[in-house]
Amino acid sequence: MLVYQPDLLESAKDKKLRDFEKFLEENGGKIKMKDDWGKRKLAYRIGKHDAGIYVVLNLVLPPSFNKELDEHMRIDKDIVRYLLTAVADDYNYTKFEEEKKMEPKPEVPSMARKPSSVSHKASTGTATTDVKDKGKKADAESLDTKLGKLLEGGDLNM
Amino acid sequence: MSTKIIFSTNQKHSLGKRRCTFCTNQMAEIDYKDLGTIKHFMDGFRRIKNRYYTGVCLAHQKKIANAIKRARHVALVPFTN
Repeated sequence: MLVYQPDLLESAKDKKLRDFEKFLEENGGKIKMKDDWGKRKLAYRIGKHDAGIYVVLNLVLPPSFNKELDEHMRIDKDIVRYLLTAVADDYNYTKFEEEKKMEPKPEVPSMARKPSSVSHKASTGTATTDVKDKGKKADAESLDTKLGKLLEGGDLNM
Repeated sequence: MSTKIIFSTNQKHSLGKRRCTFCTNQMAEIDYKDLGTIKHFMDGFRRIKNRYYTGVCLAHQKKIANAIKRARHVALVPFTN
């Protein structure tokens, strides 16, 4: 994972990544997968930067090349932070945008809470006075008709 | 990253025997980029939760700690709140 400084332009970032790929290929490595997270707020301030451009790369490298690559990333002034880790062969990565789509949408608070509680009380056949009080607040007529139906059903069950 | 995991917040009391969430979901590795999973193992001050509270097995607890430390390094997660 690379974190570039936020003032970097889109074209400059693309050029940087192309150069990075070139550098890798010269040394016998290659890029398997690239995922651009875009500009993102940092969890804490690094130097004078509040945000960073996140890029995730999946690389295949010759084993002796690690130190050289580390040095290359460290020297680059536009890279704020970097992290080089080993992953398993069957590493399964879902891209940033796909993950965003998979996230569940915030649930809309259901409006059926009050009527459902009333109907529950009615079905049990107790506390009819409570129901009348609540009916005043809501639509009284519709509730009465509902209650009547429910009570009929209750009688049949009895 | 794509699998949905259900985290029980109060494992210690809800279950008779403690079970590791990662072992039951058959997750071998924990990714530092998977912030949805990581956030369950940090408290209000963004410290790593103790194994006493997470109810995770020792091997996975170490992996969680490692993932959180990596996420902190690349500023995905704060050191303190």
